[in-house]
Amino acid sequence: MNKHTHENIRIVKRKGVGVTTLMSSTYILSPWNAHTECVLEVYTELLMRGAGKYSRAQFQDALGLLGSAIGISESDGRFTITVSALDENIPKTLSLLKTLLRKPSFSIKEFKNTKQYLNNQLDILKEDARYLAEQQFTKLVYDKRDPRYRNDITVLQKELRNVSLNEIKKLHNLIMENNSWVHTIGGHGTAIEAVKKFVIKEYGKYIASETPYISKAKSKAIALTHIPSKANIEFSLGYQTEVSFESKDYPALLFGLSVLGIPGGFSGRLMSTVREKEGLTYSIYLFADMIDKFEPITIRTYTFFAPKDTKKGLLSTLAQVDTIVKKGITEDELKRFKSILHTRNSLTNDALTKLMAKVHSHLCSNISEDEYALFEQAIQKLSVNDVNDALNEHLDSAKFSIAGAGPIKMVEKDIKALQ
Amino acid sequence: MPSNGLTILHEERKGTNVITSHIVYKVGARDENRGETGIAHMLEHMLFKPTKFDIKRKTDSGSMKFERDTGIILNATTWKDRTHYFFSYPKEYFERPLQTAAEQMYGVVLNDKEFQPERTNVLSEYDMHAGDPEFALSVDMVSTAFQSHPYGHETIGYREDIENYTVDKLQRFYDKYYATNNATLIIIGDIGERLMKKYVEKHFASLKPSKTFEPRIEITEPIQEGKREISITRDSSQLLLAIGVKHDGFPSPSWYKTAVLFEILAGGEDSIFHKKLVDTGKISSVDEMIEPMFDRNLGILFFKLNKTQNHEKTFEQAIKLIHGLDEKDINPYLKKLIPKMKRQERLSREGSLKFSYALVEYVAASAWEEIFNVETKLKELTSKDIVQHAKLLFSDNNMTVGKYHGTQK
Repeated sequence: MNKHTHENIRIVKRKGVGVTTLMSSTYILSPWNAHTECVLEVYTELLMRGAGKYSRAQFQDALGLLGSAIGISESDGRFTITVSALDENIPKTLSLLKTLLRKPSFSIKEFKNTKQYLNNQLDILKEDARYLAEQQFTKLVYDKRDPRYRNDITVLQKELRNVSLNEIKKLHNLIMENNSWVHTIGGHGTAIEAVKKFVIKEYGKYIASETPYISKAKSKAIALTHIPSKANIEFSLGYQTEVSFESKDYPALLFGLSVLGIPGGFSGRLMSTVREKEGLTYSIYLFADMIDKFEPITIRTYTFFAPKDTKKGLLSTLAQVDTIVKKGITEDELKRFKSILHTRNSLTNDALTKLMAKVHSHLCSNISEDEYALFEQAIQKLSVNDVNDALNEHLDSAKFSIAGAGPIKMVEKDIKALQ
Repeated sequence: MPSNGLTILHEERKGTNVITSHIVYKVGARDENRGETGIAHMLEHMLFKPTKFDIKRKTDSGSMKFERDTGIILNATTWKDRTHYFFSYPKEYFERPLQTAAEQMYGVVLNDKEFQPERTNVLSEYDMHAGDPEFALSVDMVSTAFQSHPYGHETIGYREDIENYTVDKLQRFYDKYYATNNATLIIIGDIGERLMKKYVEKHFASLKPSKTFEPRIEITEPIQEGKREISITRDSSQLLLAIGVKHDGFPSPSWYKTAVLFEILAGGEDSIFHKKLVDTGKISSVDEMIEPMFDRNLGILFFKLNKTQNHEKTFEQAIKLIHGLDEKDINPYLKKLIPKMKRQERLSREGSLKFSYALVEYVAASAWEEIFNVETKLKELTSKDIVQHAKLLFSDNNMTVGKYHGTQK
């Protein structure tokens, strides 16, 4: 197992906003399975439902009167608490946060309500085609023990019944006792100093954490979910590579993947061909998912097609992958995408919240500021050959697993023929 | 700009190195005729195609080339009252988006070669929305709620109309509405007034106003007599109830009353419906939609039901809660509202893209200064106002109810 090796608090200063934000995250490293997924879901929802002398409603009122917000979320095993407050209300908000962390109520009534609420939310997700395509994709790509593996809704609903209040309390103690929290503080002046002091005192001395579980690469597969009420079929396509942020080929591969399908805008080849020239979809992007710098990135293409365009759309998408592997990128693309990646990075300076999201994401992925600066320099030094060699070595359309959800039945055969 | 009627709004933000510029046209779904619904949105897509200037230079579309060369953020949105195009970029590129916006305003080339593939993209976008139960309900609800006013169709239009657009129809729409005298240029970011003026004048001062542009006519919706209802049945596992109410336009004091009422009723976990219906397991979730439109529009509350509930029972419970509201129920929410809005306001103004995006709706309502008066307007609200307003809004003669029935068990 690799370990985090750098600091655990980063500060993003910005004058004149008048709002201070604290993002705190930790990984839940207990063995991942449907039951622990449910325990974490219940805990994430239940934590805000009362603390100390406050009932759930009273706690919300106390926060509300300050204009403050506390958000609790969980994603891929990463548990995050986000606090946002007017500068002048930071001390009172931190006091409420302390109560929440130290004296959560975990009442039986709220525990039961939470389970009912989550069960209802899972019912709603049964027709969420985008969610289902992504959820099925995680099953095709990751091991069951990987925190990115998302279990089927029916399995979760069954396991939800078995979650006990004791498990929630145990998990809370585990989370509060673990010293691997990382924090990003954004704002200005005395408010951020107060938050920093609070973090050091309340979250304890930082001890480097281990990296999350890493799945072994799986072979290509297809998973389809039929939802008759939808008009489009949502897709997630891709596979887990062997390249991590630490690999020498990472900058070159990431650059090549950006040329293929950079998220946002219209620059990537997938957007300019599958959407613009061929008119087969409204949106098609490629993501290089990573939750830790030691972990191999997962290539994931997100798109959707009308049933009549599905076969053509999938073939066109995979053909674009083949073309960039066989023919490589051009000198013009090298020049343009160096500029594009540089600009994208500069634009995060526009808003504190954007900058914080970037900084916190690097912190959670165990990437130091120096390492990120070196990565940016490496991007600007790449040659066409560097990028094409990396694409040739690590990108392969034959490895693409396909998860689709929507009105599948009429095109099921066509999609399965792609295996 | 006195020579051609272009309105310019500018705010300097030193030291960020980032600028966001928008151009807002007062044209949207409300300006469309029957049979051509969604055409304002279709035209929005076509403005990213090569202009006559690009063709002359033998280059790709100026806007797309700008994005593909540099990685700036570019996009556009269409709504009922307006269409806007925006660029967010490092300050060294300041002149380029201005030139692009000016060329888009007068140089778009509409032909079948560019139009046909783009239409299929728009159909793909339509299908993306159409599979959504809330969207399906709102399409039918607004068309039932409005019999005369053009807010009676959704911005993306009907699929059948999208399939029947022609280049000629698009051209007429473009010629009429895309001109300096129907546009506002917003520039927020790291650029001083002197430089800003220099480049804006360079690219816009010579442009002529449209002669065919006419101000919108006022349309008053006929009086509604009794509750209106629609229903949709699909092969689905979902059950939804939607309650729509007509409310006054943005940014009138009455609009803020409605917005605050919707927030109190359904705006998150602290809201009344969340506490009384979601937390008690009676429904799965509740959501609200109120749009900042200039004329009277339909605000909608959406209730996702679980399998033990039915539409009628949920409707009764919701209306009973609304009609039973008293000042004691509203007071705690109003106390929390001001600090909450204060934090949200501060956050919404801290980035040039976020702030200018919010400003667009005020520009569309011809009231950009109002963005600075939100806190004052909210402070003026009383619990008594909100209680009275709730009873008025949720009366039979003002409601349109939608029911989505999934037939799967």
